[in-house]
Amino acid sequence: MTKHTVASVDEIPEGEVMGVEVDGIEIAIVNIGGEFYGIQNVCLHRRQRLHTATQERINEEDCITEGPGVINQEECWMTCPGHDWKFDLKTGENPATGKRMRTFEVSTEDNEIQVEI
Amino acid sequence: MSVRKFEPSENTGIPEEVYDEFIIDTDVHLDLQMLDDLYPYMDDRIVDKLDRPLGDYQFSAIDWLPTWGNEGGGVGVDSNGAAKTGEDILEMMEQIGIDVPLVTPGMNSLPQVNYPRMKEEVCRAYNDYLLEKVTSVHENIRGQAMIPLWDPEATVEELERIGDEDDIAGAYAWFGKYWRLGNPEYDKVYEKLLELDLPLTLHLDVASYPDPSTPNGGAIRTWIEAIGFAPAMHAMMNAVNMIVTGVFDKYPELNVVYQEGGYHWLPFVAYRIDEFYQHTPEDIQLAERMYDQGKKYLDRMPSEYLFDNFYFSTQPVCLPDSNRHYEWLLEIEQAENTMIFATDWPHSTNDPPTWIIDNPAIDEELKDSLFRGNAQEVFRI
Ligand code: FES
Repeated sequence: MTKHTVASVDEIPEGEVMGVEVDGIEIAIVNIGGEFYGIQNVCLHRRQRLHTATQERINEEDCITEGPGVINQEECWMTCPGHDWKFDLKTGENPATGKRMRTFEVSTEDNEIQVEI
Repeated sequence: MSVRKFEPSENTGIPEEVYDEFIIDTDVHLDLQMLDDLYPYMDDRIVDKLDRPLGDYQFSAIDWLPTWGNEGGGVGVDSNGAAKTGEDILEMMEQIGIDVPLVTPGMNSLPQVNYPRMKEEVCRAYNDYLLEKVTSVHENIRGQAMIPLWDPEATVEELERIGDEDDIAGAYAWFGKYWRLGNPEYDKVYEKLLELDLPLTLHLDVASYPDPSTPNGGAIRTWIEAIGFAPAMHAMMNAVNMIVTGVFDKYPELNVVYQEGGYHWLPFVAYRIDEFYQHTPEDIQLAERMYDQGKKYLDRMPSEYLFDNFYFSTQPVCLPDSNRHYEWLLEIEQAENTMIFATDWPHSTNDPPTWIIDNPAIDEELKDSLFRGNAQEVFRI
């Protein structure tokens, strides 16, 4: 296992996500209340990318609901912007089916976010 | 070691190959919330009723929504945006890789509104808005005219008014409560559609959810039942009703497109309708259209109309886990002649074109039919 620096801490505010690719592996890094979590970025359902969850939508101001995906900081999960599948960020599990996405150890050092692969 | 960071709008999961394909998307919705954008196109008497606090209450009195069914932001109608103009649709086309969108309305609660004149006025206003603000922006943007299918005369009138506009590719309506499409009063609609070379598109709508005042509807408890199965039942029943009352014997060129009504039920309905037709064909002659023409039996086996006169939009695609099973389904469903691609953008159940690219069950020929061939054949494009 090697630690890879992928971003600086201030690049991903609380409740936000960033997509990174480390040696061809795509990871979504999510900031939950100052803690960072890493989960496979390519959704196991139809390969949409988790890092687009908070992307601004066409006429965002007219949208009546949240989307495309949601990040829940209190319960530490997020939904895929594709079709709303929910993933626990600690385990990578979709709670309804037990299907699981890969998760990654993420730590911070000197304002840098590091992912273990 | 290489590290790359993605902008939120970058690497969205749509592969490059999608942008190389010429793709017709047969179900791209405008925003749900655009009733007031239509006021300038409406009769003042209707605007007066709608433009007041809770004036649109009948449009939003909906029995079932996914609000309690998912955590991803509730109703899901604008999970991917809210398009109001042709410029917004152009942005969507670029994002998803669509070349020709056949724009559909977002107002799928219209059939449940109780005032026909109000609903007809909304249809007229929508169609004028569509032509002025949406399809006029780019030659590739085409629209499906919203038709008041609850009233065959009003439908014909609206088709006469705007049906021959070049930017209109189809006539859009809904499964509804059940439109009695086999009744002869609809013949004038079919004749007009044939004259204009337009298909009848039937889309899932709020009125096709189970009615809670019926024992059937009162028993259901989940969005899964409401969205997943009740509209599909309407789709099946509508298809069978039209076939056995002789609609396609009288109008063999008429095409019906089902949107969000499912299609893995095709083998079930095909085998079953043929079985029952062979067992009990003798009351078909009593259906008005058959009786009035002095016809005793259908010209073909019922399942042949199902595969020849009906088309099915692919979304939601509901892929089986086994690729082998999917190959079988595509073959049994005669996908090369029956299925047309649709995203259902911007709803939360949307399917970008991703699932067709690199799908081992879909060869080049079938991909061609799904992405464009069948849509070109059935819609006036
Ligand atoms: S692609 Fe992630 S939920 Fe469908």
